[in-house]
Amino acid sequence: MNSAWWKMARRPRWIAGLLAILALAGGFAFLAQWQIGRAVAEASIESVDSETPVDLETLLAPMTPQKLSDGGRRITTTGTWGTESAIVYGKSQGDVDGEWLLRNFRVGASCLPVAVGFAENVEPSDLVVIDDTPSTISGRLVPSDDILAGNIQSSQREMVAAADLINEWTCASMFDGYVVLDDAPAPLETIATKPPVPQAVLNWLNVFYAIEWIAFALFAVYFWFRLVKDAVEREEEIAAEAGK
Amino acid sequence: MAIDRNRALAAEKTFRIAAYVTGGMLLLLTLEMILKYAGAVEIEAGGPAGFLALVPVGTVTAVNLSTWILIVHGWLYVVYLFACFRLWSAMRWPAMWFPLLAAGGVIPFLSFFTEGRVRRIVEESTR
Repeated sequence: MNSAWWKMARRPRWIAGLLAILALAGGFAFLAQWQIGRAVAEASIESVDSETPVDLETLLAPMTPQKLSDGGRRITTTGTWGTESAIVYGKSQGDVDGEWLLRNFRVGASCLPVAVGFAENVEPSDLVVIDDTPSTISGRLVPSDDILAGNIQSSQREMVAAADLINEWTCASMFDGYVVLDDAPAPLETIATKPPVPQAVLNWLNVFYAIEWIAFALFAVYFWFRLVKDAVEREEEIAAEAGK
Repeated sequence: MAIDRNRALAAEKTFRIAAYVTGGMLLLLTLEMILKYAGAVEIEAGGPAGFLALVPVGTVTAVNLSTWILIVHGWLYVVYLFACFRLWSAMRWPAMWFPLLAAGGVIPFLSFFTEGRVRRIVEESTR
């Protein structure tokens, strides 16, 4: 871009050309934005009806990994409360720091860890088995926590993981993950849960089209630059011919 | 005006290849569009229905060949445009010839005709 180029580019003809090219590039940019919008709007949202309770065993069999898309779904299941329990430390609800009471719920021969409720201090009396008649519970299915979550140096458990609990509880088999009970028995507080956020997958076809439109817009500007350069060379050649 | 003969011939060769590849891809894309919008089917590769199968729109579980045709055509068209630009600039054609060349990649069969015309014009001007 030497001075001859700049001189040529400043001529009204080429400024008009630039405006036309910029309008075209703007059109391309608009199309790119439209494609981005489509990529999001057409994103296939993998929505699962998480709020209608389903039977646990339709989602999960003992000793099989829990599917990511099943995390957070409401479930019901029938079994009996086992004697095993645990306290999970380092929990909080609202502004209150506290603990969870975790209990074993036996579904057939398998153990299902159930987070029964929240309290600032879980009392030993809360651990007592209330009844051992078959009962149906409802709650939200949650994937196991990271086994290294929390303070692993302290002897206090700060996570709920099937891989950890199976070492302590007497279980023929175990479900992956745990259930947060819908209604905590007094004096415990019900643990707050939220429905899972739907997973959106971008539509890559539209993303690629958007990138192409941006490339076209940039190319249009370069095209103008090139046309000006050609015009300069043409004039120089004519001048050289005349000067011969 | 002076034309760099070697540069023009090399650019014409690239353009010829790009025109055939993009033209062929465009025909595949046209076929895919007809299948999708008139037949309501998409092409699935390696799915449960076999190596290559036509399945109703939206039911593809394995590789969606229809979508890949669209993506690959899109990028081959970018390559085609680049080849057009190289030739257009080597031949020092008027500005309005460029959109004509570019149209070859989006109008089915057009690139095969423009390619023939272009080759004759280039051969005549570089003789």
